[in-house]
Amino acid sequence: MTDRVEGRPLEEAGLIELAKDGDVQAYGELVTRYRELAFRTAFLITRSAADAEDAAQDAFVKAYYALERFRARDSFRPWILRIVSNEAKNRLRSARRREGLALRAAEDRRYGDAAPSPETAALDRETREALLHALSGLKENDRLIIAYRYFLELSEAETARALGIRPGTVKSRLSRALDRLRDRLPAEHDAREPLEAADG
Amino acid sequence: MAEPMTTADLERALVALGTALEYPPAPPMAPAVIARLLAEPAAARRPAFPGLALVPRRRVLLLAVAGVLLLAGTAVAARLAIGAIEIRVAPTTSAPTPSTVESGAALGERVTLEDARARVGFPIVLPPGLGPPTEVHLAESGFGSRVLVLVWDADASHPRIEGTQWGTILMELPGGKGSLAFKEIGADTTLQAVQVGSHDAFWISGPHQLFLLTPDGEQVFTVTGNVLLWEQDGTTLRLETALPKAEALALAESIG
Repeated sequence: MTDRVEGRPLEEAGLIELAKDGDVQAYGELVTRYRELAFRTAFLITRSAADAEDAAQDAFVKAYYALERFRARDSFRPWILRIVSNEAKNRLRSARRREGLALRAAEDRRYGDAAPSPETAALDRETREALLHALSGLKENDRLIIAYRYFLELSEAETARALGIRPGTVKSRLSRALDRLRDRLPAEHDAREPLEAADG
Repeated sequence: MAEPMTTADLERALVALGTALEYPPAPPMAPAVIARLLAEPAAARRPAFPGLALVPRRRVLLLAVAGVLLLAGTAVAARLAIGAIEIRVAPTTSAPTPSTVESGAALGERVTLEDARARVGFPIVLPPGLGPPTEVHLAESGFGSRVLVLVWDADASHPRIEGTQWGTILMELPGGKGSLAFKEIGADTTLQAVQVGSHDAFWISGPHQLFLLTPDGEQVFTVTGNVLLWEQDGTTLRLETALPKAEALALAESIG
C-alpha cells in the first residue's frame, strides 16, 4: 500500500527521486539529514542562530521547488549548501550591521579531555582567538571558502559547486583568501601584545 | 608564534579551529519545511491555503510541533485543509486509544441511497465504474451536518482494504461549515500534494488516524488504506482504497 520499503532507510538518490515526485515526507528526510550542515553554513555567514534557522529553512523550501534542476549525478550536499549560503547572504545584507562576532571556539575544556585531537591540542588559545578575530574582518566570500574547506571539510570539487565557481579556481581563490586572512593576523601575538578578541 | 604563519601552518590551524568551533544547536527543521511545502504548492497555483504561507517560519515550526497537543484541544494546529477535512502534521504519531477500524456500525446509521440523497443536503456523487454502493451510511457530525459514507465490496480490481471488509470507501462531507473531521499524520505516513483533475488534493499513504467530529465529541478511526482527499463543487471527498496512487487517482477523477 505504500511505495516505501519498510525497515530500510532509503538511499539519498531514492529520497531525491521521491521528493521530485512530490513526496514531501521523503524530502523531510533529506532535510533532517542536512539540517545540521545547512544550519552551520548559514550560521557561519549570518552569525545569528535565528537568522541561520530562517535562512536554512527558506533554503530547504526553495530547494524543493528547484529539485527538477538537480542532476542525479551531482552531490546533493554542495547543491543545497549553495542555496543555503545564498539565502544566508541575502538575510545578512538585509539585516542591520552586527555588533561583534558570535563565532567562538570552545574554551580550554577541550584540552582537559582525555584524548584531545592532535590538531586541537596543537592550537593554542591565542592563535584561535587571533584567527577568529581575523576571520571576522574578512569579506563574506573569503570567509565562506575558508569555512567550506577547513570547517565543513568540503572537497575542492564540492566547494566549487557550493560556491558556483569553476573547480579550477578553488585553489587560487582559497590561496588569496588565506593571504588576506594572514594579513589580518598580528605579525606576532604573544604575551607582550594581548589580543582584543581574547576573552571577549 | 613569533614568525608569520606559513600557509601549511595556517591550514592546520584552521582545521583545528574548525574542530573547536561552537555552533548553536541546529533546530529541527523538517516539520516546519514539510508544513510549508504542503501549504505552498497549492498557494502557488491558487490561494487555497493563504494563511499558512504567511505565518512566520518559526511559528510554523511551533505550530507543527503543537500538532501533538491538539487532541487535547489545547493548541491551534498548522492547519492544512481540504474542504471540511483538516490534516495535522505531527512530528511523531500520537496514537490515541481506543480506535476503531472503520467498518459496519462505526460508519453511522445505515440508510438507502435515496434516503441519503434526501437527508445530506448536498448533491451526492458516485464513481460510475463501481456500480451501486454495497452500503450507504449517514454519520452525524458536528455543526448539524451529516457525513455520507459509501462502501463497496472488494473485487478483483479493488482489493480489500486491510482491516475492513470493503474494497472502496468514499466519504462525502459538506463544505462551507468549517472542519468536520481531521486527520493526523506522522512520520510513518506519506503525504503528497497531488491533483484530482483540476482540484488540489492530498494523497495519504500509510496508517494514520481519522477523527470525525460528532455532536458528542469525536470518533477516531484507524485508517489502513490509501486515501485521496479533495474538494469538488463544494463537497469534500475522501476516497479510501488499497489501490496504488495512479489507479486511485483515475478512480477519483471518474467521480463527477
